[in-house]
Amino acid sequence: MKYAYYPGCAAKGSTPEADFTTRLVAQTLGIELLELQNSGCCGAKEIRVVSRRLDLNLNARILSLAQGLGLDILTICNTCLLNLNQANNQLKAEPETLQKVNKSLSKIGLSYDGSTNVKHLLHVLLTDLGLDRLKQSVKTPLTGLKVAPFYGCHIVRPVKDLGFDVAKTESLEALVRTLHAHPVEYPGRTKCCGFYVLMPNEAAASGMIAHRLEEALKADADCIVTPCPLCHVALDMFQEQALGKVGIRRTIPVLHLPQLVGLALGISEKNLQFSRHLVRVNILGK
Amino acid sequence: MVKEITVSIFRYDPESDKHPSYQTYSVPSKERMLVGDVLEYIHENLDGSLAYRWECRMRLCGGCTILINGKPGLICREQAEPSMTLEPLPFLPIVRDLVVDRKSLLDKIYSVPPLTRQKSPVRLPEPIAHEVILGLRVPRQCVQCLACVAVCPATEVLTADLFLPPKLIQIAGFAIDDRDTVDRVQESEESNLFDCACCHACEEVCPHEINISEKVITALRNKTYEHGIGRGGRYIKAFYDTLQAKGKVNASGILLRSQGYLRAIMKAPQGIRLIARGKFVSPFGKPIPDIEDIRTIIGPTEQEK
Ligand code: SF4
Ligand code: SF4
Ligand code: FES
Repeated sequence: MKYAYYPGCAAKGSTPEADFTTRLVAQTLGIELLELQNSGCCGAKEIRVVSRRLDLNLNARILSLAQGLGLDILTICNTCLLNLNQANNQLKAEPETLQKVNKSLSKIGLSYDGSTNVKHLLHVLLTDLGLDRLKQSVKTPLTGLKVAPFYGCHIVRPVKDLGFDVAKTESLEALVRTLHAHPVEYPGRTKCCGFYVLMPNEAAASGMIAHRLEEALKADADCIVTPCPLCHVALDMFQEQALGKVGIRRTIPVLHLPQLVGLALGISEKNLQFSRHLVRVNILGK
Repeated sequence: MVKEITVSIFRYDPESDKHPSYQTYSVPSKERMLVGDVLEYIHENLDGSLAYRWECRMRLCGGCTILINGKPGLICREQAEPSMTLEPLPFLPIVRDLVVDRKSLLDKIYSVPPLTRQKSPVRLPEPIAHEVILGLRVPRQCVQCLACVAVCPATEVLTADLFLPPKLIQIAGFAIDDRDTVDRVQESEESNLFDCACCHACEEVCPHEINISEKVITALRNKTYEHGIGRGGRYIKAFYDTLQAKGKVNASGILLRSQGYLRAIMKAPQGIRLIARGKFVSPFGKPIPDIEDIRTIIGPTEQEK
């Protein structure tokens, strides 16, 4: 199992612990990651506002870099996953658009043929590695830990662009069970964390964040786990202020997917870099 | 043996009931039965006091939306499931059982009058470009059923200052019509265009499968960006500038470019905590090594469709 690893801007900047622990977990599980050095940004939800074509160019460049390595992409960011998939689908469906985009890419010595597949770490653990093999690698079963699976939006919707319905198939819940933890049922699991509103309207975003955290707290979860670094930014970095505004004094730790997996694989607390979180991770020993 | 559908329905009459309750009915199942058929069966055979709304029965009046197993849908469109819980739409005052008073929201949506505002007098014949007509088909499909409103996280938090996808859909329809004379950029900024969280939840429930994120939100934001106005336009420009400068983005760079030094400094306490945890990316850091490649492919000359 070898992938072109594309962590995305957030995991390289605001949540370096997500990048770090993904590498550790991959190494432990025998998943080889070859980082797409120099790959730059996927354009998030913003560049398509400037022009759809620029967004396609950025994503086609990343897809083409992976094509050069002959590898599928593994990303750990929901938005990168959706953007790369949407661009890929469009470029495959519209030969004329692909031609235009390739004209741009030719200026930097690249071209794209539509052959790269894009997967999220969650998909790789579920289908390429398989939960049975993951189960065999569990060294520290997380027995008794109540986890609120928080999918984030762009790994769930739109299903037609992603080609795989992770929420309906309850894949994050299945993964949590594989680690011997208990996934709590709660209404917020596929709702929005509000990340994309943080910049233009922090007050509105704060409201969304508070709703999501309250839902997980109400379900009596010990922690939240998310496959998306952007959700982590919203739910961890802005947690104190969002809950403060609605008068809640409890907190709930938010784990990156690779951190939860790493915990069960027996990776040390220090290496999981919980100390980088703003909300204290107080689940150990539960 | 006739299969049965078990359906639990929210019951509440604000005039006589202290609390809402749920009542369970069994309905003989038929092939391709709609949720509306189930309700009609109950109303005609089991319980005439049940209130629900179903008018056109062809997905056009938009009046029959309820929550079906927690998900908003038209009862004249959604297939009945063997076990269902039916509830009224959230956010709105309950008239009785599944019927809500939609007026407050519809008034807000129609505060954008559903008319193209043209220069008068209109010269006839009136030429309309083919692309305009094609573009107009999208917003015209919206039947104001409010399904998207029921799942929208921005609507959920902006109770005082309503964010309403169907209102933005109306505006988007006029914004692409070149006969229209109203400043739709201003209007969409005032309708909180940039509070959309890009979550795609609306599209998943829209009975007419309107691609709200692309055809409405992104399209209107593009107009705002091109006009370079408002907090939203400034924010997009800051993102684009950061990307051209560094090849990657980080919050500090965008903040500095969109809100200026003062706001950025005011965020300093948060910034200091982030530095301590190795989470702060300096806005003055180095670009990625292949930055020239990024600049080449996202430069202004590459923007043609
Ligand atoms: S994509 Fe925007 S409009 Fe649609 S539900 Fe999400 S926040 Fe609301
Ligand atoms: S956009 Fe779709 S879901 Fe929303 S009101 Fe219009 S028809 Fe209904
Ligand atoms: S009855 Fe008119 S839309 Fe369903």
